[in-house]
This record gives sequence, C-alpha cells and structure tokens, in this order.
Amino acid sequence: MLREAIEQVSVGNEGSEDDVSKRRASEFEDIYRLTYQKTLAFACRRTMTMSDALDVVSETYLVAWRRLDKLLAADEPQAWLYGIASRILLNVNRGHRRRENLLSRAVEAQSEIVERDPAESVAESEELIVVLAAMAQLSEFDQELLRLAAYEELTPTEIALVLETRPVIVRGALFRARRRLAHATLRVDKRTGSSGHIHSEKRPADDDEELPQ
Amino acid sequence: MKPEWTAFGALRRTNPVRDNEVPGADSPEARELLTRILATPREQELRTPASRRKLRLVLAVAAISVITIAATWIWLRSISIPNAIICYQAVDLDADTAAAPPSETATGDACAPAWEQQTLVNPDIVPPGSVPPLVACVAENGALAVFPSDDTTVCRRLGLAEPDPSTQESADNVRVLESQLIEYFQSEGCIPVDEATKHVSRVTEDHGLASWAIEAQPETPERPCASFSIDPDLETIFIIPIPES
Repeated sequence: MLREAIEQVSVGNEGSEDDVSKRRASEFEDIYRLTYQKTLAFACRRTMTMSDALDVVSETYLVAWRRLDKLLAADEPQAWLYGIASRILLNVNRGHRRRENLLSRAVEAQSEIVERDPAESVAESEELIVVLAAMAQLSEFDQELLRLAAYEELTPTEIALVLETRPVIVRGALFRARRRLAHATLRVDKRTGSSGHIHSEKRPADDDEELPQ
Repeated sequence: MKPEWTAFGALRRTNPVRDNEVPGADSPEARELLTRILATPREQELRTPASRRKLRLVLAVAAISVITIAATWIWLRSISIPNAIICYQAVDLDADTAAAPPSETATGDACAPAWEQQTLVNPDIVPPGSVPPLVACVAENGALAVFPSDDTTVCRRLGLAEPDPSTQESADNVRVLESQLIEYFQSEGCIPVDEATKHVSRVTEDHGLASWAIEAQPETPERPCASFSIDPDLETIFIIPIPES
C-alpha cells in the first residue's frame, strides 16, 4: 500500500538520464515523508526516550540513504526501514544493556513522550506494568515478534521482512510467542495479584487466537 | 472469547506510544534530518549505461554459474553478515532459535555455548547441557544458520546454501573484530566519541580492514559516551553517542 502511495507521489518525476540522481533523491524524500512518523514511533516504543529514538531514526535514514537501491527496490519500504532500525537498536542496546531498565522506565517515559487523558493513562499504566513484566520473561526474539504484531500491527509476511526470515517461520514462532506471553501473564498476575487489570485471561491451553492478518 | 481479553489483546491496548503521538515528517527535527541526509554524499554512485551493460554481462555469467552449481547440488554462499549467527534448536526452520554469543569464528561452533548453557535444549538429540554436532548453513540474508545435526546434507534439505570456504577467513576476521570491540566498549565505562573513533580505527587497521569506513556522530553534553554498530554489508562501523549509563 505504501509502495503504491510512493509511486503515485512520484508520477511525473521521470526525466532524462541526467536527472536520474535528482529523481532518486526525490523518491527517497517521498518515502521519508510517508514513513518518518511510524519509524519514529517504532523507535520510541523500544527506547522509551524521545532523544534516543531520534538518534535511532537519524541513523536508520542515513543507512537507508546509503542503501538507496535496496530501499527503492523494497516491496514494503516501511517494513524494510523497521528492519534497519531494529538492527541499530540491537547494536546500541547490546553494548549498554539499557533494556534492563526498560520496565521501570516505561510508565514514566510514556508520559514523557505522549500526552493522554489522565484517566486513560492511569488505567493503561497499570495494565502496562503487568504486560511488560510478562514480556520481560520472554526471549528477546519473542518480545520483538510480539511488539511487531501488536504495536506495529504487521502481518507475518511483513514481520518476516523486518526480521529477514520467512513468513512460515514467523507464523509458527508468533503462535508460540503468544502462548508464552499468556503463560507469563498468568504468572505475573498470580504474583502481583493484579488480575483485575488483565481480566478474563484465557487459559494457555485454550489460547487459539488467530494470527493478525 | 474476545481477543481484547487475551494477553496479546492487552499488549495491543497498552501500546506505549501510538504512531500519531510522535512528531511527523513536517516537524522541525524531521525537516532538519532530511536536509542533513540529502546533503550527505552517497558512496554508491549511479551506474552509467555502459556499466549497466557490464553488470548485465556479469549477472548473466553469475546466473549460469549458479545454475551449474545448483545442478551439481553444491550451493555455496558467502557469509556476508558474519556478525549474525542464528542457532536452531532442531533441524527445522520453524524451530526455536537463539543468537550466538560473541565468538572468534563464524562457524557452527559459535552456537556451542547456547547448548552448554541450556539456552537451547533438545533431549531428542543430546542430554541437556551437551553440545550436539553442529552444521552451519548460510541463510538468505547472508547470516549463518546453525543446526544440531551431523548430516552434511542438512543445508540442501532446508533449501539453504553452504558457507563458501573462500569467505571463511574474512568472516572470522569480522567476528574477531566485533568481539574485540564489544569487549572494549563494555570494559572501559564511558568512552568519549573521539577516543573511541581512534581506537576503532586502529583496531580495524590491525585486522587488515583499513578500507572500512568509520562514521562517528558528534557527541553532545547529554550523550558523552560512545557505542558502536557494525555493518559488514556496507563495510562501515558507526560510532553512536549515547547517554552515560
């Protein structure tokens, strides 16, 4: 869909060979305008500070500019950009283990980044604590799969593009990750007595939700 | 049962930052970044029509080579992303995986710690804590995919290539470089960007990778420390300023 939008924006920009360079820069600009906000939100969700997220976005588009051929050839430029950002985040986080503090910072940081109705924020914050505590018990791979499906609302095929793997692998792994999240949420609920926040949780054995399409 | 009552539904509802809650492409930061990027020269210049013809010829030769190789069922591929090694728990692309810890070789052995530490367990193959025979294949993206098996036809059966031995040395070299850089950045506390850039430059040259680019973003008072990111595809090491932890 994004690819179609970019092609529509680019119509009329064709020129002689001498103009190819300008046209390609213009195509990059079109993609940038259509993807920037989603890419920044993606980075915010994973760094939980706006300044870190802006750095990741800056690095992501710099890499995209250097790999312009690949960006322009990508079927889903947004998913391709998520993939680049994801690897940049991995490298940055690996060295400094900033994710260890993510849970404790998440709720505070959420209010730093976004402005929401106070009542909505409180309810969400309480649920956020339970969900993030459950997420923290999963492997990094499971967490990223679930974030891509829940927050970015990507299909298994798009997730496969981000993670540079095959859709069939993503489908199976996502199914298992969702089941593990359900198990972990039950454990957190029992420990914290916060079952009121994620009510009517299904039993893991019954967790047969359909994958997002 | 309504999906919103499930754990996954709860995760969806608690999206900490929605897309429309952050600045868009018209924000001052976004416009400034775009201007800066467009002013950055690209290393890969556009190809001329003559070079395109050459490229077509090269591609044709390459295609014939691939067909020939495929016909003999020996499919080799270079390990173009040696810093990514994925360890599989079973001979199945759908099996659980773990990332290999830093190591000095881009081979199947890099996954041994994941088995020893029981990050990966498969009682059907070996007792927990034991390391099974490991076979390395090359995934579509150029990363190494390692499976627990002594069957040398595993890669072929999974539709993956085998590592091209001629690229092993350079892949190992990148792996060693990355291990040394991780050790350096983790052991020295807060390293200023200038100092880190000099060190990385020296270490890169020591590994015979003087042609690699080192790109450092300037540090700021809020971000006085350096971290790094390595991109073998681009032959570039990025030095990234981060806050003091």
